[in-house]
Formats: sequence, structure tokens, C-alpha cells
Amino acid sequence: MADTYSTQFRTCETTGLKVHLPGERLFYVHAVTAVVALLTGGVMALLIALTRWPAVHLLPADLFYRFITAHGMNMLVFWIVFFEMAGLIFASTAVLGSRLPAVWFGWLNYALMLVGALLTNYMIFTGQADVMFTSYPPLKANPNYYLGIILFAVGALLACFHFMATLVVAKKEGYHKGSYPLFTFGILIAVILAIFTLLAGAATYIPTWLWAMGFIDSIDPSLYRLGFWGFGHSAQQINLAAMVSIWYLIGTLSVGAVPINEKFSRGAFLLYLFGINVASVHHLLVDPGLSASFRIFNTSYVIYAATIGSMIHAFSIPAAIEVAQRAKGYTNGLFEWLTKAPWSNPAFSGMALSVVIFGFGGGVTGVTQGVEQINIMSHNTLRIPGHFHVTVVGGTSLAFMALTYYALPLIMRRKIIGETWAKYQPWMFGIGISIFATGMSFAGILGVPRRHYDVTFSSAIFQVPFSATATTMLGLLGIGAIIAFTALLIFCLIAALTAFFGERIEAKMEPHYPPYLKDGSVEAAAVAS
Amino acid sequence: MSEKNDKFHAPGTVALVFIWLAWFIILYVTNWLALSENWFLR
Amino acid sequence: MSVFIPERNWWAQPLGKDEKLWLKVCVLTAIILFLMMPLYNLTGHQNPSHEGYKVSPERFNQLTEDFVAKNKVRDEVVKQRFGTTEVEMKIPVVHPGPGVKDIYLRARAWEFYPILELEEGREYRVHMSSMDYQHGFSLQPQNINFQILSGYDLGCHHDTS
Repeated sequence: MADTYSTQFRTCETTGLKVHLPGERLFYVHAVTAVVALLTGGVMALLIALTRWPAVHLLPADLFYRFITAHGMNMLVFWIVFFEMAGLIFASTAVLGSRLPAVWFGWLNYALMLVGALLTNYMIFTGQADVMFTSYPPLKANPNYYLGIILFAVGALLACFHFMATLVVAKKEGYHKGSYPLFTFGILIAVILAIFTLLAGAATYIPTWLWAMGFIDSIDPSLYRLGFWGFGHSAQQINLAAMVSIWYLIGTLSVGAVPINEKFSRGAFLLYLFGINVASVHHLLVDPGLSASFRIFNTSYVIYAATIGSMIHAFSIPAAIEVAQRAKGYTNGLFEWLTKAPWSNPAFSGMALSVVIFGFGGGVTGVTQGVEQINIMSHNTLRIPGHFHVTVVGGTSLAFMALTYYALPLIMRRKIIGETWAKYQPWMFGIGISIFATGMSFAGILGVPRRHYDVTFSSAIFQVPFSATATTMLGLLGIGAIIAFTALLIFCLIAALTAFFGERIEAKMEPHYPPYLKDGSVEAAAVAS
Repeated sequence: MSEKNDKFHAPGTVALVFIWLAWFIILYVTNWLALSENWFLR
Repeated sequence: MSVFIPERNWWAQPLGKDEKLWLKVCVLTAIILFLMMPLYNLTGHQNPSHEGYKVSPERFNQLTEDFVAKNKVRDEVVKQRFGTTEVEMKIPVVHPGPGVKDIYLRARAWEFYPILELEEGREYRVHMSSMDYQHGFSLQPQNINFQILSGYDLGCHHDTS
């Protein structure tokens, strides 16, 4: 049996990892699809930002709401999840030196996700789903819009099961023994969250799809919101777990950082699992019909368990880097380990920027705005997208971009085209998003609403425009968006040029036999390979 | 083992996380103060 | 890569001094954060309504029109442009009479109705619902924001001051 698979592996000359080639091919298609979604969502982002900038006010009203839908779906769902699926394959195969147990199944799941994404996008761009990412009933889209999302979700859910199966096979067939590495453990937590999340999503989207087709009379808007955010917020926690896992991974690859205490970090991941799903109620803090105790229990008591988890990682990751750097001799003062870190490595700088932007911007605004009373001031204002762009874009997306700078040479096995551009790209993106989110957040503090086409109220009966400062803030939003979009474009170009035209790095083909067999012994043959 | 526990092995990080905590406290308290303006809602 | 393999017996490794310190800080932070929300519910003056009622759009519309009929003081006449035509619209201005505490605001694409004229220092109970889609209610410059759903009445107590 071992001989069927042993020749399907190559040995990575940088990390020594044994990479299953069929799995690597699947990684490749997921990653490329992710970047295509990123580019689509990015173009939408620029157009929307130039509309919210009152001086430019680019799009007409119908396209504004259409492109908001396209932007939300392509960025929050397709870009992130396709990339995460690539990460799942990597975490379960290459990191463990295991084979992917059912390659055909991996391709089936990809096909489902691709068809779903294409169908959803088609519905949006043909104007049959101007409902925005949240698609709140009684707003109704063409049933195929919901069908596309359901197909995508089924593909993703099955891929999660495939990941679990790979972990089991890795142990059973002797590819891996003992505890999973922290990166794989973090991704496992993300996958468990994903399973709960996608089931909640099914419970929300399937009835809505049936309603759109006319089989169900009506959908209670309050119940929909509860179900949708049960899916929607938990989905963000998946992204958080994936991002944190990637931070550890990049720390390891860039400076050889090792978790300072595995128990500390793994415990923090477990807190994510227990704390986050009910926290979704923070989306319903100013909804009618909910009691204070319901709101307090869910968004206060339980969510702070997840917050402790994040605060632990906020310590563990820099600490791991610091310890590794100090061991190299950078022991001068409090911060030489940081100043002498490999800042010209775009993977490292992207990761570090992601940590700072997420920590100082995202986490704090989220916890603050998720307080029931403070939410009265921030709900539906631009403070909300100000918060989530810092977390999902400045945090998660930037971390994914940073990881790509390793994936390109190590997994795609191509020399990076545009290395000098790559050095500055994370900085440009991080700074652009920070300016963008600052403008957005301060505009929201001054009362400017989100998802609003024209805050000059030019066609309203009564003119009650916002202050000049608010208008300036919206201008800042526009400028930040232009900078961030340029950086996004540079990233996509580097990724595409490298993936298709970069100088190939030869694969070192070596047969790989499972090193740990049933009796725990290491076969002489495996040692010889 | 006890020697290891006598010192911080990541003092720079300890400084960084406390800087972060200070930033969070400022933001959080400012938001609460902004609430206590002049409108009342029960 | 050997650096990926966790060390043996990682579960037995004790936490370092800085980890222990930070963990204590994290737990303390979480406890304070947790206490703030219920505490403010009990002692603070700005809280979302704990009341909510189910009401059909037709019934809420009736309640609103009754309220307008009883308390209207004048009409605000405005000219609104629809494409190339200009239409004259009459929007009722409602000033709740003495002793009237329940006031109604109806949300509908694309308007809130009626215009409410309220007195400073008086306490009102605001009822809001939607006739169609979900709407966001935002009172500026106070920056009070709520979500309005059809089929539900958001009944807030509001002290104007």
C-alpha cells in the first residue's frame, strides 16, 4: 500500500516538509481562485469608496448597492474562504507529511465552491440580487443567488470533513505521531468553528431560498437576523483563528519562532471555540424584542472568554518572535529584537502589520462597539465598517497576503517577480487601510450612516447635511481606499506574474514512506528515504 | 526551572501588551463618557 | 520541519512569569468588561429598550394614522421633484398634546412619518415600526441609532432634554 503513494511526494528543500503533490495542485487552484475573487472585490471596493467620497460620488444609486453586494460577497466569503481552503490542505498534508486521502473528493468540493461562487456573482452582476451581503428579508433576491451561496457552503463544509479525514489518515497510516503542530491545531479549531457556522448558515439560507422560490410565505425578519448572524459572526471567528494560526506560522518560517508555551496558545484557541458563537448577538443589540439579559449573557459574559483568547495570542506571538530573536543575539535593551527583525521580508512585515492593525484597531473597536449601550451610538454608522475593515482587511487579508509571499516560492515553486515591489506592498496596504478606516470611523462618530448612497441628502425634502469635518473624513476614506487598492493591485500582479511566469524552482522528488507505523517503530526503509 | 521563572523571557513583549492595554482602556472609557452626554433613554 | 513538531510533554510545561502575569491581567480585564454592561443597565441612563411588541404593518399603520389625526397641529408643505415633475406634498406635523406619552413613527421606503415636534424636558414613549423593509433609525446630532423591523414595534422610553 505504501508504494502507491510514496512517489507522490516531494521534499521541500527549505523546510524539509514532505509535500503530497496531488494536494499541492489543489492548493494551487484554491489560492489562484482566491486571488481572482480578491481582485474582483477590490475593484468593487474602489468604486464604492469613490462614491462615498462626496466630492467624487462616482456611481449611480443602483450600481452602488449592487457593487456593495458584489464587494461583500467576493471579499468576505469567496476570497477569504478559497484561501482558507488552500490553508486547510496545507495544514493537513504538508505540515504533517501526509497524503490527501481522497483527491477526487477535494476536486469535487472545489468544483461545488467554484460553481456556487460563479452563480452568485452572475446573479449579482445581472442585477438580480441587489440585497447586500446580509440579504435581510423582506428584501428578496432571485432564488439562484441563495442557491449559489448554498452550493459554495456545501463545498466548503465537505472540505472541512475532508480536512478532518486527512488528520485521521495521517495518524492511522503512520505519517504523523503525537500532538499536531500548533499551526495545524489552530486550523483544526477554525474547521470546527466552520462546521458549526456552515450549519447555521444552512439553517438561514435554505428557508430563505425556499421563500424566494415561493414555497414559504414569509420569513420573520428578526429570526433571520438571529440565524444570519449566528452564521455571520462565527464566520469571522474562523477567519480570526486562521489568521492567528498564520501569524504563528510566519513567525516560525521567518525567524524560527517556536510557541513559548504550547498549553498557553492551545488553551487560547480553545477559548475561541467555547466563546464565540453566541457572541453573534452583538449584531442585534439595538433590535426590537430582545431582553437585556439575553443581550448581556451572550455579548458580554461569553464573548469575553474569546477576548481572553485573543489577548493571550497577542502576547504569545510577539513573545515567540522575541525569544527566537534574543537567542540570535539581539538582546540590547527592550526592543532590539524588534528593530532588528527581518522587516524587508514582506511575509514578516505583512504579519507584523497585521498584528498591530488588528490589535490596536480591530479588536479594541469591536469589543467597545459590542457593548449594548455604546452600540446605540455606533449601530448603522460608518464606525461599524470602520471596525470590520480593520479586522478583516488590515488583519486577516494582510496576513493572507503575507503568507502568499512564502507560498509562492515554497508551494508554487516560482521565484517571486517584483521583489522590490513586494517589500513595500504590505506597508502600502496597511497604511492605506489604516487611513481609510480612520476616515470611516471618525465619519461614523460624527453620525454618518453606512450603506447610504448620499449623505448630502441632495434629493431629500429637508436638507440636514453632516458637518464639514464629516465630509473631510469621507475624503480621507476615499484617499485611503485609493492607496489600499493600489497596494492590492500590486499584490495581485506579483502573485499572478509569479504564479504563471516566475522562474521555476525544481521539485526534489523523493519517495516518502510513513515514518511511524502501527507498532510505533520507525521502518528502516523510511529512515533510508 | 526556578531560574527561568525569575525573569521575564520576553520583556519587550510585556511592554508592548501593556501599551496596547493602555490604548484599549483610553478608547473604552472615552466611549462610555461620550454616552453620558445629554440624552436619556430607558 | 522539526521546528513544527511540538516538544514532548508540552502540557506539563509550566507557564513562565510573564505569561502568568499577562493571564491574570486578561482575566481581570474580562471580568471588568463583563460587569460593565449589566451594571450600566441597572444604574445608567442610556439603554436600549427592553420592551418589544409584535405588531402587523397594517395595525401599526392604523395606530400611526390615529395618532396623527388626534395630534396634528399643521401641515408642512414641500415641493418634491420626481424626475422631471414637481409634486407638492403635505406632511403632517404632530405636536403631542398634554398627557400624550405614546408617540408613533412609521418607517417606510422612503420616509419616516410623521414629523414629530417634541417638547424639551418631557418624557415620551416612542413606537417605531416598518411597513416594508428593515430600516435604520438615526437621530442626529445625538447619534441615537436603532434597527426597525416590520412586524415588530420598538418601544423606547425617551427623555428629551
